[in-house]
Amino acid sequence: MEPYQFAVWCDRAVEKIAYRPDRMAVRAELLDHMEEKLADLAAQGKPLREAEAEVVAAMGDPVPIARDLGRLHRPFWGYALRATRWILVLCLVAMVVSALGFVDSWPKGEDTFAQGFYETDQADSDRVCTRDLYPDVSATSDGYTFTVTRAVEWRRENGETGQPVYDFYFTVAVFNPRPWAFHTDILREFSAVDSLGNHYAAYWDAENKDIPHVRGNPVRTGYFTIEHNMWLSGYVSQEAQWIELRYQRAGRNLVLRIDLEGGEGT
Amino acid sequence: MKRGRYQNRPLAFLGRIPRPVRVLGNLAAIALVVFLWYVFEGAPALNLETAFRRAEKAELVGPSEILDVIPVSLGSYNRLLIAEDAEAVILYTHLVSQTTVSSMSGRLVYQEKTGEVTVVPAPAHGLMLSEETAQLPVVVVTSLPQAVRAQLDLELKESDWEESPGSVHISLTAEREEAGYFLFTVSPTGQLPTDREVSLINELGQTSLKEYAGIGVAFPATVRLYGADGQLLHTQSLVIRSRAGDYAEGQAAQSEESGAGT
Repeated sequence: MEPYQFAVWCDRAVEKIAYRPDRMAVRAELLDHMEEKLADLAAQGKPLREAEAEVVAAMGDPVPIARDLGRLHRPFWGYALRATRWILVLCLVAMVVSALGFVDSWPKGEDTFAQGFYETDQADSDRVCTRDLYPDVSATSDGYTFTVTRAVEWRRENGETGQPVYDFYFTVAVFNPRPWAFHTDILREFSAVDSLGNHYAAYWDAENKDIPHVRGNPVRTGYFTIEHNMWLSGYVSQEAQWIELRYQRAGRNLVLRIDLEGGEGT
Repeated sequence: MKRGRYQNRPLAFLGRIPRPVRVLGNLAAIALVVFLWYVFEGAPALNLETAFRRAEKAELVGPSEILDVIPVSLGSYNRLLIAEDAEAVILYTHLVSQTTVSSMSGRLVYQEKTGEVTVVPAPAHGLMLSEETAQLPVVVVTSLPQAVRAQLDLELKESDWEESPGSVHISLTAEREEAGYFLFTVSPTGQLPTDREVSLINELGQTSLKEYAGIGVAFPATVRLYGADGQLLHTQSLVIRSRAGDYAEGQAAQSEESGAGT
């Protein structure tokens, strides 16, 4: 318990410090100093009351000290620190709430391409994988990178004619590292051509027309990447050496060449 | 030596860092947290132009020159942005509230220029146009700088498989806007029952949307351009059609493609 005289003196000495935490800190320092002095005098054998009075007298008039301390301890940075601390806490809370919603929207589940296009159908005796490719070819435009990650060709038998029919499926990952980038379905503007000259129209150009064209859907969405399962409807390129996906519009010329050589199937 | 009361707390070392530095540190942390908050909220565009530029990139087109932004009533969208570049006319609809730009994407229409006159209906998505608000903007852009007035004649015809297909003849004139384009507003004329006319106007707007590429409509149109002294400068007849054309055209295309195929 601090001596009463010390408390009164310290309170008067710090009363001009506007920012409360600074005021309390300086008060504590002054009090410590006075108690140390008191302890020294008490060790010399002085009576307690006399020692207290001597310490207070030695500290001097608290009024000019208060004025000087008030000038020295401006409150601005103290209030600024407190305000920014509170703003940071509020922003953190808001961010965490947003993050929970964001995480909840992330895709869950397994790689549907592997299951739907390959592994599951290996057990299907009507369908034989004739090509299993990992092209890993990329093209970039307007901040979006398009990568063909996998391509599979199937052979099956037409139930009516008994003739072999071929299907071609592939996966395209569309990546953009900018969080503000819109998700794009621009793959529906891509057409395709093979080394034999066969042409596959873009999806939007093929409506109402029974012509070979590029089709696909987004199947997995991350924040920076969308994966698309794609296929060539009316596929006739089983003898071709390559297939090129093309986007040629508005001054852009994107080409993704899928090399059909190698990648033997079963 | 007895330590001060406030010196024994955890993180006491912070007290040794000058306050201005700590305030700056807090401000930097606030900036980082606000940025992450913005990202987790979907990084919404802060104004219409930003949203438009993002939409251009997502469509792999542009950057184009923005001609104008006009208020419209197109379902959930209340702004129409008109832009062009050397090859195309671009329209972009979006929702702008009093304080923010909606975080949902707008609709971008990319129409390659056709000759000296390009006609682009604003996109009407689904049943966006009700009987009460059926006013569809149609933008006309021309490469003739001396044209100051334009006349647009449209024939909106119902499909042949309708019970008694009717048609609406629309003739509109417009003065050239300061930004250089012509703006027409197509609305019901009373030639057919209102609901049928609204349906036709919706179809006209749907010709601009990729999602309706296969609706199989084609509306003939004629644009006449006049100079300052009223003389006719140019006449262009064209067909405003859905992206994939109409069904008959599709069949013809199929025959062509089959012949040139394997």
